[in-house]
Amino acid sequence: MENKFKIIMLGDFSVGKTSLIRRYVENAFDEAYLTTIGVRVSQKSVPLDNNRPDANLLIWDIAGNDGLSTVIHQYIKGSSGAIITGDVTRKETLVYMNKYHALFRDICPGKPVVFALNKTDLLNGGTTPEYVTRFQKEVQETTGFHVIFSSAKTGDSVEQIFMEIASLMTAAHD
Amino acid sequence: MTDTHIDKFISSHFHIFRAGLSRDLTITPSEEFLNYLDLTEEYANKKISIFDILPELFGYEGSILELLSDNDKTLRIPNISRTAKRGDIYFNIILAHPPHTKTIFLFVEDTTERMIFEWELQQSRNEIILLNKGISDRNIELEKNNIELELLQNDLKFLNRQLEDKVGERTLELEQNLEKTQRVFEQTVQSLGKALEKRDPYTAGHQERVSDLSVAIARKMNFDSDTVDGIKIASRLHDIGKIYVPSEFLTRPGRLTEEEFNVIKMHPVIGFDILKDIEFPWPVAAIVLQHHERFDGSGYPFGLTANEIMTEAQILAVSDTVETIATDRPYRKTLGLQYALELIMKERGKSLDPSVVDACIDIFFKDGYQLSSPELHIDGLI
Repeated sequence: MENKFKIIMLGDFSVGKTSLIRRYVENAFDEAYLTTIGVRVSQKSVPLDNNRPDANLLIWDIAGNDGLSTVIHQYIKGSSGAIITGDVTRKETLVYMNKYHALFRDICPGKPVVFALNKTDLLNGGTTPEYVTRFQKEVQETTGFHVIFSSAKTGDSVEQIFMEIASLMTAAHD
Repeated sequence: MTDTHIDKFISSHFHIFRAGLSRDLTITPSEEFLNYLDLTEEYANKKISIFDILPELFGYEGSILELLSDNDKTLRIPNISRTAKRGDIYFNIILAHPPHTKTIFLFVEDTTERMIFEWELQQSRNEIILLNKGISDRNIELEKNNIELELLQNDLKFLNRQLEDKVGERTLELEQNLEKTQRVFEQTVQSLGKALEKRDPYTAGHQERVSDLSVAIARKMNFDSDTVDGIKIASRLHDIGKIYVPSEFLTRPGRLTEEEFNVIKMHPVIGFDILKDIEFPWPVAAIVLQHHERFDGSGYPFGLTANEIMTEAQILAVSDTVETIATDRPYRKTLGLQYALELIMKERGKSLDPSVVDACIDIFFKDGYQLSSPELHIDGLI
């Protein structure tokens, strides 16, 4: 169990948590929206530098609809890191990102977080809305964690999200 | 009943699969347990780490260790999903340390049926929320577009008002210019007429009177106002060619020689030459050229007949004849209007167009038309 890391995916429903995992683990994407209920654990090994054994990531995909209910506390428990996801086209999902971060910090204090702003492929003419830019600035200033813009559909920056959290978790573990 | 029988009974009736957990965190799962998780071949009859068989328990090591040391404790991780060969399955993992025992039990409780039902509900709920959100976003966009449209409409109204004002101003300006042009045109026609009168005082007022009578006849014959205007102008200029006729021919009392008369007979052609290059909106030069042609071909300069002669010229021929006979000439005193009208009646269908003669007779006898008096009488010339 030396190099196993539990990562929890947090975020409002339909922000693309499952799609990010699917893109990362299977390099696949499905246009159809299928909601997640309960929890599903996916695994992927990540090579680490300095001749260390690969890190085995156990990625927990939970239902966004569970919101901040008590069951989610049980799922978050024991996580080494979290990927908190929002949808750049839905302002309200960014509000949820802040709430999930506060919850994760309470249950897993000191554990690293990566903020993923997903669905950049849906931005009109590639223009980032003002509320997204403001959110990115606030997160970086208040948490020090990275905000990564991604698209599970195109695969853009998906690998970067998981590599970033793996790097932060292994650094914390060392 | 043995444990195996109990396990079989519980798993088949309640879909709960049990395995005993050792303190080294290994289990020896039952056949039903492995079957349920699709793990039969790989782990059959082996002591297995619970983290190998249930990686979902990774991260709960602390809780499991607590459970091992304290009895009357449970750890429950609900609604875990996996894809098995038979499709997606959902289950709860329950670790229990019953009171007064040293045994720790691991249960896997199947919840697939309930979770699939919940999934269907949740999927519908989420789709409705997303749909509402889409509608709401579109409504906001529509409202924004409506406001923009209203602003554009206001701008357009303002521009339209400005345009209407400009069009009004321009129309007024054009009307004023047109009136001015018409006035200049009238004055030019009048001046041309007066130029002839300077040389031939006997024709003074002749063209004006012929013009009035021609207009009255044309109206009687129901010509449109534009044609009537053309007849009016042509009549006012019909003798302009006489400007080239020596004035003694025009003013000398008594009969002219044939040669002198031949010179006078040139005046329609000369009039045509003078007027042909002026861009009148009517065939003024042609009317002037034909005003001495006669219905029966006895006229000049070309001896045209009936339909070959423009109706405007036929009207001018009748009114010119009436006016000439009814007023004083250098070579004779007036023969009177009565005589003039009798003469045209006599010439009806001969030298003069019968329909024009009829119209002329009608305006005098039925409509009470009065030929205006000559403005200029030169006493003692006759």
